[in-house]
Amino acid sequence: MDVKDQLVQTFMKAAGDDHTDERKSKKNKVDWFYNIRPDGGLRLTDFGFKYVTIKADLKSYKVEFPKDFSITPQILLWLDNFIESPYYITKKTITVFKESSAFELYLFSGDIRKYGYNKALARRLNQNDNG
Amino acid sequence: MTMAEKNQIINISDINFNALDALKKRQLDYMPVHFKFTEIPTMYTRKIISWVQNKLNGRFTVTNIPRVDSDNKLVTTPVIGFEDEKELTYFMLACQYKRRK
Repeated sequence: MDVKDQLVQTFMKAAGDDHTDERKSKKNKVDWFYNIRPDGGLRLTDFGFKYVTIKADLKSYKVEFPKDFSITPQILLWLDNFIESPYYITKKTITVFKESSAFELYLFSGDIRKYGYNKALARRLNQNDNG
Repeated sequence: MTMAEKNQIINISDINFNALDALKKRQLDYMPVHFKFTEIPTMYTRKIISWVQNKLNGRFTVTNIPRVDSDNKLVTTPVIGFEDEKELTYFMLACQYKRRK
């Protein structure tokens, strides 16, 4: 059972749906996440975001991007690798569901390019220390 | 040989090394459904992993499990899971990092 399976079950439980139904859980996992690989990121689809915010009514944190900011494929890959919370991204905002992730993003004033760069650097330094 | 080097010498009989260790398959990075788990304090995660590697033999995993708290916030809790229930019992009773809260 990977992180996405656990998240799907948590969302279904919060929404009051039957989270023990394995067939429904698998279907929801495919519907709610863009990347369904076990080690893939936690980006939510429109359908998943609506379910989590409206039906499950979980608290979300919306962070606006700086002006003249554009999303590139590299930024999407960074987000896929480094954000530990489920997130939903539009052209102007990113919405996360974990307080710690929201706080990290606020510290970077929503500049996810800098955020991703710092995370990548920290990971590289950590690997050098361990290896 | 310096004093520090003498202190680093480990008696071979003290090392508890089994086939899973040799294959680097003891610690998993996901939680299989048949594992039994318990919550652990975040600040002692590394010490707990080291304790389990030294004192126990079976497969284990340390992961974060998501849950929704009373304020409808998504939070993740670090947990340790064991394949063998006996090892979980031993861990709960004997590990000083688990008991200290």
